[in-house]
Amino acid sequence: MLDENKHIDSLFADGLKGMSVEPNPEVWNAIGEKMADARRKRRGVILFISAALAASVLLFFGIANRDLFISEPGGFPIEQLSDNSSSSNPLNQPETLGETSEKNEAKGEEKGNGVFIAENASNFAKHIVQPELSSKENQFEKESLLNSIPLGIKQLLNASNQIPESLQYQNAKKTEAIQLSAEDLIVMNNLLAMEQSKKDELRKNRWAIIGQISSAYSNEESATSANSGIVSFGGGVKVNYALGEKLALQTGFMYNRVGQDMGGSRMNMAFADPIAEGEANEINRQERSFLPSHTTAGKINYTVGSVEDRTNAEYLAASTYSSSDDLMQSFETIEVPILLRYNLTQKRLGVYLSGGFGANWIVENGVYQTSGSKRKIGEIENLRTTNFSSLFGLGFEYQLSPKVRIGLEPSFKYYLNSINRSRQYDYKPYSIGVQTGIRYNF
Amino acid sequence: MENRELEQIVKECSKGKSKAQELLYRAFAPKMLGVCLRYSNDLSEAEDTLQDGFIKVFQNIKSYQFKGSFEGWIRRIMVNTALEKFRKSKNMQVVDEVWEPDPDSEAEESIQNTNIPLEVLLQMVQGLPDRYQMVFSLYVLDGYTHNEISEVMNITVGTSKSNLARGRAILKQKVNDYLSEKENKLKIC
Repeated sequence: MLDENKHIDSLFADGLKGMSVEPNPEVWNAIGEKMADARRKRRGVILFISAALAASVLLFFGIANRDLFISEPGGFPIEQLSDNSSSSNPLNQPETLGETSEKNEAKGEEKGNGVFIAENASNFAKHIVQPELSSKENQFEKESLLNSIPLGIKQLLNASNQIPESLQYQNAKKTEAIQLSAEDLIVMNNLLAMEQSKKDELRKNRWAIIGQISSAYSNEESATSANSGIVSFGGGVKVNYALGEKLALQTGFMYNRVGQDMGGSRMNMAFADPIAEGEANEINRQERSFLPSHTTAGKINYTVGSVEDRTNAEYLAASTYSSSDDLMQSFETIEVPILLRYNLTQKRLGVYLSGGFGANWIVENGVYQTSGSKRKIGEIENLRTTNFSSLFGLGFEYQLSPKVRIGLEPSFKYYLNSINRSRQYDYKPYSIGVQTGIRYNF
Repeated sequence: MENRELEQIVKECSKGKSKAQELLYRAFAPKMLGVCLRYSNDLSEAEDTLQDGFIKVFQNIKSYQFKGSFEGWIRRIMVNTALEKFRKSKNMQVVDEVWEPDPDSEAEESIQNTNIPLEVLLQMVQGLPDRYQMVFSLYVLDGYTHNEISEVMNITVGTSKSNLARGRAILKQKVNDYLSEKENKLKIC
């Protein structure tokens, strides 16, 4: 029996074990198709997972943003969509998210699909800003919003930013046709919230006060080699008013000084001594130092009390000034600048350009002897009290805190008019300086 | 196919390269169809099993560690696929049965020096009741033990043995019938 079993087993095993049969070619085709399907499914799964992750991230940030804005004092005002029949809740009354959520739920029960959303959207997503808002305070800039709205949504709005009639919220039926995904709504809502947040931030920090000190080299446009410039220090306070995200207006009070170092007074100026003609003058020229009767800024009015006749060469030769080597003229001004400032970058390190005009009131005018101790010996006559200048600057600011920044601003200032009334003198000083200071936003 | 070449193809297949998959299929499909035929009732069903089996091969080829025969690995997948299909399609009811050999059968003439064509042998196996076919193929043709058969078919070892015995008896009968018929034909001729 056992042997017989072995025999029957070997009969079949010998025959069938090594059996090979060529399969139908269709089998491989079917396998190929199924493998391709599997690959497509795998890609689909990967895409789905990626999309799900992206949606989760967006949802997360959406919720986070919502919480962020709700937690702020006063809340993030969100315009609520409503149909025309809801007169009890006019569009120009901003409401907080929580309030709108509750009211929309109530309206949903009463009027059906009166909101611009998909039915399966969350309550949070149901709140979306209507492009046409009547509230001035919370009105968004359409262009910036439209640029940030996804294309699909953007197509819902026509080129003139007018809401097509079919999309206006006149009644529930017309809005039923619009179906947006919850993710789109969340993204859009977040963009609007960010926009509003920026505006709120700007509104909060619209004003700033800036304290500055400056160091500047000043000279005169047509200064000759004999007259070098002077380095002076100044400073003041400016007020900054932000006109927009990048543009700001500045004004304030700045103390400045411009002038010239006229070098040695040994100028051999014969005209300063009308009687020094002839022989006596020839002698004096070898021994005397003459003071100038004028500078490029104007005629000098020597104000030293003992000088009765400044043209008296004898006096000049005998006076203490006769040995003076250095004279300097300077004009101290109080400037009220009107500047426009444009922010190139607004990160922790901000860069900006500024330019404008300044009104300068000369508050001190003097000619000084600078050899030894500095002494005022006179002043320039016939000066304009008020002068105008143009100002240009390239500034850098570093943010120390949300409210405080320190800055450095190389600047250039050029007087637009001659500071002397007389046409004989065309004195337009300029200064190149560096202003540094601290800014406080409020 | 050389081992190195096979290894390269397997590696390519694990990267999902369809060309390598086709090469592998061309190399092993005929033998594997032979395996599938032993567990199927006809060619169509066997090709279905072959198709599903190869898809599993390609999907799981990364798990092959190049230990042991690759052909044996594929064969195992094909048999498992066949068993799976069998379990699904036959909705097999497990009934323990013990087959007592018929005393008369012991007196049957021994089958010796038979020359039976392959197709006939295959038809005989395919003609067995499904459970007997499975057990006979697993035990005789693929070297499973009764313990293994009991596990993969979810039957007892006794049932496996009984099914094997009944299958053998049926096949023996079929062989005898075939030989008798053949002998009669020869006599007529």
